Amino acid sequence: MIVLRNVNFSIGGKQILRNISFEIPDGEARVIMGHSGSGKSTILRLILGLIRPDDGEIIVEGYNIRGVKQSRLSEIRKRIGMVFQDGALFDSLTVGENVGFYLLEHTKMSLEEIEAKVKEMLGFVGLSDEIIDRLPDELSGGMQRRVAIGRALLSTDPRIMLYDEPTTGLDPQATINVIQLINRLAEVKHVTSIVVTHQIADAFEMADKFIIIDNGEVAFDGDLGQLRASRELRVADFLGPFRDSIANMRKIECI
Amino acid sequence: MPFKIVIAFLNWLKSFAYECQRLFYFSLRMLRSSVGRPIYVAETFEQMYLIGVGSLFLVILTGLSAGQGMALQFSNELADFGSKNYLGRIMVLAIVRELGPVLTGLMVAARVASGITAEIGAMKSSNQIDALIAFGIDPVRKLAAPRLISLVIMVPVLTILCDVIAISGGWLIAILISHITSITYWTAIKEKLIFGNIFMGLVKPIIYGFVIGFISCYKGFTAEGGTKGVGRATTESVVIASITILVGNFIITKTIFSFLKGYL
Repeated sequence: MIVLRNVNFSIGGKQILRNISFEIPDGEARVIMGHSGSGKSTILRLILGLIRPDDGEIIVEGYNIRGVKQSRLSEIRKRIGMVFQDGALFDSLTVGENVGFYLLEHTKMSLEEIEAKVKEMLGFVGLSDEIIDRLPDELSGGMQRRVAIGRALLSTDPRIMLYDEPTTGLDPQATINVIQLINRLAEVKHVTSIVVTHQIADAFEMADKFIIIDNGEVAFDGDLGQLRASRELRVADFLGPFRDSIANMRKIECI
Repeated sequence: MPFKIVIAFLNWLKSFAYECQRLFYFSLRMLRSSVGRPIYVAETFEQMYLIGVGSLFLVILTGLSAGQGMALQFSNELADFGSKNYLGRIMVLAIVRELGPVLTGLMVAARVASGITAEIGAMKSSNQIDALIAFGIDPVRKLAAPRLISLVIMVPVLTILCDVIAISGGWLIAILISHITSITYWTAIKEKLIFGNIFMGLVKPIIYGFVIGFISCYKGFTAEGGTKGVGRATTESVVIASITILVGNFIITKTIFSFLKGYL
């Protein structure tokens, strides 16, 4: 379970997040939406412990991230898989080295064993193992995003997956592939997922429950029905032309 | 108006002091990471190769040009006093004590510091540093420590090479233009290659290795503002490292003169 209670965060005197509170039970998927610069990605970085809040509680796997020691934080991070914006693949390493990065760094597995696991993972994320020796720059955006998901998954078999703008900048087919993969992961591995996006159409295909962040505050937290019924001005402002069409939207089935 | 200037100066002083403090703490963290486990041996050897072999041509060219230029200048002046035979002694003092370490330091700062800052800065702006942390890797230990160790080893090695090339370049000028015999030149060189001079010539590049490593890695890790910010950090890294080497050269020389005068 992930719980945020009255979280505030500021940088250089500028308030980025104000009084953020929400709960995500185990195994659920939640999409955090909002305009660019509204503070969505900051929430993921807080959950991962990359930055510390000014005050409030962030409880992940039963531990309050805010006051936890570095060694404990490293243990908690082992249960979290993070897919960064644009993949954040290590550009000097090959696809194989990227996907098997955690195993190479933290285990004593032989290179043959790691290669076998990498190939298996590439297959799981829908990629051919022929790309194993390629550099990230040689891949399309969609392939890079899938490699990043594979890297996060092969790390520690995570119980929580965090996705930062996983479909931004991808073509329609690549977007569908990535969304299908995210949904498949949630169903097959029963991971708790948080997807941050400002792509409204994609958001409704990845979860049934949504949080809308506006200017660092939670403007909405609920399901599709509640979203449809919401009279909150900030929600209407964010959804814009999508407001009328959300009735027809539904989560994409995984293959 | 003067009041505003004073306020602006005080603000600048405050931010400068803050930056120095951050650099100091980052340097301590780098030192701690360099001696603790895990040690990234493969990365360290890769960096030693990139810094050492990559700077080889630059250092050889610089050493040769500087050595020949110095020899030409000194031999003309010494000829006026009938003391051309002392060329070798002066070359050791100028090259081993001063020019060799400083020129090598500046060349490595220009070539390597910019590369280190740009690489780490680009990794930061593309979230690769955060990805390392997310995978339980200390980025300072993984990225900064191998570079620091490599610089502290390779800058002295390159300095020795620069000294040898510069003195050899001086020898060419000595025999071809100044008409000093080889034996006279090399005997004078040997006479001045004493403990104090060699010590000064080796302590300086070791310190420059630390300076380049600390500044370039710090600037990379603190780069902000996307590609423009990385570009700015890279420029600052080279400028600060170069100025520190030049100012540091005087301070180190003065300190060694104070403590090792009898050995020089």
